[in-house]
Amino acid sequence: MSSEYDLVQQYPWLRSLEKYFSDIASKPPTEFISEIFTNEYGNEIKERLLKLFKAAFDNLEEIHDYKTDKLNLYVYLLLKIFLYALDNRVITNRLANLYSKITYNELIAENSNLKIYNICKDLGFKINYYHPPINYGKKIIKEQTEKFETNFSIHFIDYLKLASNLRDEYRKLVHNSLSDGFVFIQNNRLIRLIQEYVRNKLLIEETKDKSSLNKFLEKATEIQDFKNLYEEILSKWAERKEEFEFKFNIDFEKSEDLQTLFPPCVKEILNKAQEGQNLIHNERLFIVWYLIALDYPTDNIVNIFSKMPDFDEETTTYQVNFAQRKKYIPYKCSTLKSLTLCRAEKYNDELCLIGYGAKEPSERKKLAHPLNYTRIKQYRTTKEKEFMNKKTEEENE
Amino acid sequence: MSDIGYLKRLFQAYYKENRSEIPVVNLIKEREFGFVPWDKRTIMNRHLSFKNHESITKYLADEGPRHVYSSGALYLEPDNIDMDNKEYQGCDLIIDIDVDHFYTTCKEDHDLWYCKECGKSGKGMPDKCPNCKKLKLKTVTWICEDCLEIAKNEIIKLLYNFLIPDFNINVKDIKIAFSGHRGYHLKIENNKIRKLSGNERRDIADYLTGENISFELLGLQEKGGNIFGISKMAFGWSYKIIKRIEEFLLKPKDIIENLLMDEKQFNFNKNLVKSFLNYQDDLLNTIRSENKNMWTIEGFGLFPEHQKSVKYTHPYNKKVDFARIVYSIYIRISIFSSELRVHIWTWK
Repeated sequence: MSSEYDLVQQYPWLRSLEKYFSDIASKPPTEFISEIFTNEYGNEIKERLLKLFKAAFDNLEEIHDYKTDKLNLYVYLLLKIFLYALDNRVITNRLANLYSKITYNELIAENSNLKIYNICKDLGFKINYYHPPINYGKKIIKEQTEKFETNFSIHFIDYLKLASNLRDEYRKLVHNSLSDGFVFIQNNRLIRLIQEYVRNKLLIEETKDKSSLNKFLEKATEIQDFKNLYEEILSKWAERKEEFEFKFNIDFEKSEDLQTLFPPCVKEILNKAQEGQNLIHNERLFIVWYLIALDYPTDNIVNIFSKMPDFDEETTTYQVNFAQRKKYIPYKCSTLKSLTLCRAEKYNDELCLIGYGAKEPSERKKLAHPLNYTRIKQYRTTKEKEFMNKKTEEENE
Repeated sequence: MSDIGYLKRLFQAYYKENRSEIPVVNLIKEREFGFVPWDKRTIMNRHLSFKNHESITKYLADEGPRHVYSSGALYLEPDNIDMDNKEYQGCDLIIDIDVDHFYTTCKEDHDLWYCKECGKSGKGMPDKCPNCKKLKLKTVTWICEDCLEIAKNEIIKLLYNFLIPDFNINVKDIKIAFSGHRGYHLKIENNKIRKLSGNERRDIADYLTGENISFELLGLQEKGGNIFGISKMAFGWSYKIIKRIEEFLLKPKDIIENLLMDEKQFNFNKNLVKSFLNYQDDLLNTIRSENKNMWTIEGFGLFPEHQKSVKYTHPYNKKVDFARIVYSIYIRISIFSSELRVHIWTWK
């Protein structure tokens, strides 16, 4: 067997999967499922899959005894089938996060740059491998010199495809060493990008074609083992579901539902939190500063983070209180755009996109700050209410 | 014949006689075209498409339109009037340099402003009324030869300081055109780049403009008036900053003195200039050294006072800091057009 073949067994999200396991791809999924459950490793595969789901529902970030042996391939393919069958964004997000983090830990533990290089080549990334490592910078603070060394540089297009959704400040192109079209990247940061690739690979959009999903479910649940496992996962989910599908209680002030007055950038972050997606640093800062500016109480703000995988109540409360004392001003629109947190186009929001203040588009003022969004919406709602009240009064008279 | 009729015939004749000079539009079948006809109401006819170069040159000779536009975006159905049904396939990366959107010294001669709040008026490009500090300014702008020279210089910087050395963009994929009035468009026609999303394009724009750059993340620190950090052995923005400082320090003393004292540049007082010039050679040695990396220059800091991050303002900002160095490096992009899926690209 080739080393590529072994690599795919270990890391089944590689592109070579199609090359080496074309027989699986050509089979109808139900045939594949029944074959897996009836082979000698069927029970072991089921157990591993269930373990993954349980760990994701328990908010775990790793599975200590996770194995990347030849069965891993079947676990991965079954996982994708189950995510399709369950058709639930929150579950998919949890599993994608967990599985990609496991992958990250596995790749770090490999401690083999050549393997990382082969993985990147398999994924079609344009990448340079330097052996011995190349020096790409130096930082000298007083007498201490820190040399920047790496084995890798990756083409800026591949880098952007993987890194721009992560949106951490240090990952922005402007803060990286770019030369001749390639970004010099530290080994562990490259592995973090591979983690993101794996996460995206598992993120299947909710199925629009519900009739084919139902047809598939009908056929698949005829396989008793699939049915049992499917029901077990659903029952485990039912036990934990409420913890994930909570609603934020943030409409506290003056008996007014402020949620309807939030700009798209805020709605997006709250939706992500609600769906169990992890929030990046800037999203966390922004949502805290924004809600503080609207005088939301600490408990309500802390509550938003309470279901994050890395939630620590004491630390979060301290940080929210600290931000409250400091009175930080939330990011303005131009900064949000730069941090790719602006969602005006996604939500097709008229106030954000067209502006306010006049009917004639050329005379309208551009919205510059998300807090103004809430203020303007609040003003408009009050005016509408006043108008309606006046109209009702007139009608009554 | 009416004036408009006369102009239309003139344009028809022009397009007919100069057919061979009309530039070929790459992937013409996949682009949306728009035309402004010779009409009293200048409304653009949009959602048009052409199968080949011959069909568009014929259209131009027949119709003689006033303005011609083609989209930077590629579509499967460019002539579909519903944007959602055009089936977007990607978009050229277009960088728009409009000189009226950034400060040039010649604006002090030809740009006028009037404050709607207090009635004060003057020349130049203030961001608010110098009298009442309100933002309600009405402006009349003008583009002169100097303005266009400055815009050309931005294009040269973009090419030779960024796109070629950093991004390794093939010059064959680059097209530059006069935008018709205020500056230039630089277009990159490359299949991989066309597929970049809005977020990914924003990251490139931030690289070109140095937007939200963090000196700390680049490795620079300021402690007790000393600046520590990056060395000359670097790539990307770290290298650009060091190179810029080195270029400055290599200038003759009298030029440095003039620049430092110029109130629209550094605005140092005489003592600061003297102190700076005393340390000029030491600083140059430090920057060029492999092992030394500490700078102490009186009046020189990483950030403007009380400011935690870089903020760009035009040269009226008299603070002396690294932000000013970034200001001298970055590209003044007015609109990063390629974010818009229906960017209209003018070729003349």
